[in-house]
Amino acid sequence: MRTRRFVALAAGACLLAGLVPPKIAPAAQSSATPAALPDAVLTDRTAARLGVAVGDTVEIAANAALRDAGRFIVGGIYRPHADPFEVGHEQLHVTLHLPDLERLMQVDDRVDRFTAKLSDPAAARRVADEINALRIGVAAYTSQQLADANSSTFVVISQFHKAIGVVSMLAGLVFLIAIMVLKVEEMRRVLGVLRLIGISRRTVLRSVLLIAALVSLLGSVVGIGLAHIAVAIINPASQARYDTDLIFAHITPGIVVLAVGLAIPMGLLAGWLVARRIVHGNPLDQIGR
Amino acid sequence: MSERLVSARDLAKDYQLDGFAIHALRSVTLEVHAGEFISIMGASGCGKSTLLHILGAVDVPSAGELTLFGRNAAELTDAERTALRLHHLGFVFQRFFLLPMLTAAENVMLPLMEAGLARRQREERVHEVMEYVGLAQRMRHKPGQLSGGEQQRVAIARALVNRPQLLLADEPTGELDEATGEQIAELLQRLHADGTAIVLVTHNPELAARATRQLRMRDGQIEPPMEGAP
Ligand SMILES: Nc1ncnc2c1ncn2[C@@H]1O[C@H](COP(=O)(O)OP(=O)(O)OP(=O)(O)O)[C@@H](O)[C@H]1O
Ligand SMILES: [Mg+2]
Repeated sequence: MRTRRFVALAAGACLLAGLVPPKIAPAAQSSATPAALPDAVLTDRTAARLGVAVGDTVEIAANAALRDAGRFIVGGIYRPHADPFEVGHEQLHVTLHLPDLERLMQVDDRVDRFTAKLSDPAAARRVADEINALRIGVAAYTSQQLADANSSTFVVISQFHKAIGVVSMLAGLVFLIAIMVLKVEEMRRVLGVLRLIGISRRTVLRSVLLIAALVSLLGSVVGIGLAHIAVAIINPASQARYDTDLIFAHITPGIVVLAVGLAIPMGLLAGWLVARRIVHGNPLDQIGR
Repeated sequence: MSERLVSARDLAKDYQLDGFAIHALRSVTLEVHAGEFISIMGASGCGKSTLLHILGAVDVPSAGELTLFGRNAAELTDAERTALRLHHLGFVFQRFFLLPMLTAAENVMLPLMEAGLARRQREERVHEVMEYVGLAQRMRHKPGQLSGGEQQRVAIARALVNRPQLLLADEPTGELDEATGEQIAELLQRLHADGTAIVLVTHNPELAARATRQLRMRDGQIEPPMEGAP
């Protein structure tokens, strides 16, 4: 068997919940000497919520009543990677050394999950497969696999958003046709005059469609511009609101293609529906004699 | 005898309105020859515009025979009638009917584009015809920036630009004051002198008097010439 190199992560084992979430509270008074206490690492949000800084003492317990609480000194504060699942949730995270955690939870020799970082990240898949093949009661996943599994909710949500977008564009089409039908009196006159001076139906229809295409293209460009402005407002505002680095709104090429690909045929359809009726009428009726 | 542009026999035009028929034209027989200047007068509602529209291949008669530029009008498709309007006929209306979003020159250029002329030729023609109507200086102006008389001259330029054999004018001075109407009348006379046939509908006897043949309509028919008329 080949040698595999594992490097254990950060401060011993990481607590990834799974057990009863520990209860943390700032210690009322730090009577004990700080040097004698074990240290714990807090997320920035936890620290802010508790109002503690590095060097302060906190009490942590595995139950809400703070029974059998342990005292820890805040050894560090870090900003975790943003996780969309946690947006809007007030979750407090603390990282302890494994023996401290076991003592607190009153369990022995129990680790639900841990993360291993490979010196060669590209080998993740192969290493995970090899670990799984050992059948030692451990299931290994690459971070990509975890990300894929966890993002399925977001794929559904983004499909949902897409559906909302398409529906609102179709509603817009109805609105557009209504406006064009109202505007049709003006258009009638112009098209009637064109027909009267000998411009063929084909030319008139083609011109209307060309204009419709240009207008919808222009509309798409304006819409995409507005979307970029909206993104420029939504992202910083939401990031500040939820105190996260997550990107809330993002315009992908796929969305642009979808929007333009819907807008232009819809504009053409609306133009065609209106122009076709006019072009087949009597030009004398259209100019209002 | 000069070339016969339009020949109509026993034309009738009925409109069905709420189940009863309006006889806009009852029996009109008329020939228009190349270079002729015909004026048509008559009371409101006697069918002058209706006749003009039928002669101009815009409308179709309910009965009667009509030959337009050597073709039997009854056999023409809509596309063929459109092509006749483009190449052989010019229309001038009381209300000008210029496209407000286009400049004078662009309005005049429309029929040339449809006719498929090259750009250079189009520009030359537009310039030529705008000069003819005395508006070479106003080519870039939009209809809203022109007076009524000027707009009507642009409309006449548009009607002339494809060099039609026949110009049909329906009360072209109807919305103009006397002096401006006079300019239009002079323009029409010059056009006639240069060889274009004109059928002019008007309520203005002085204007009608300039035509080489003056007709009167009544109740959907052309009245027989009065005693002593030429
Ligand atoms: N589309 C139409 N539907 C029904 N009736 C019509 C229509 N067009 C014209 N008529 C009727 O036909 C008759 C002749 O109309 P036309 O417009 O030819 O009169 P006109 O001699 O040009 O009148 P004016 O001097 O007022 O312009 C009128 O009684 C008019 O009401
Ligand atoms: Mg009339």
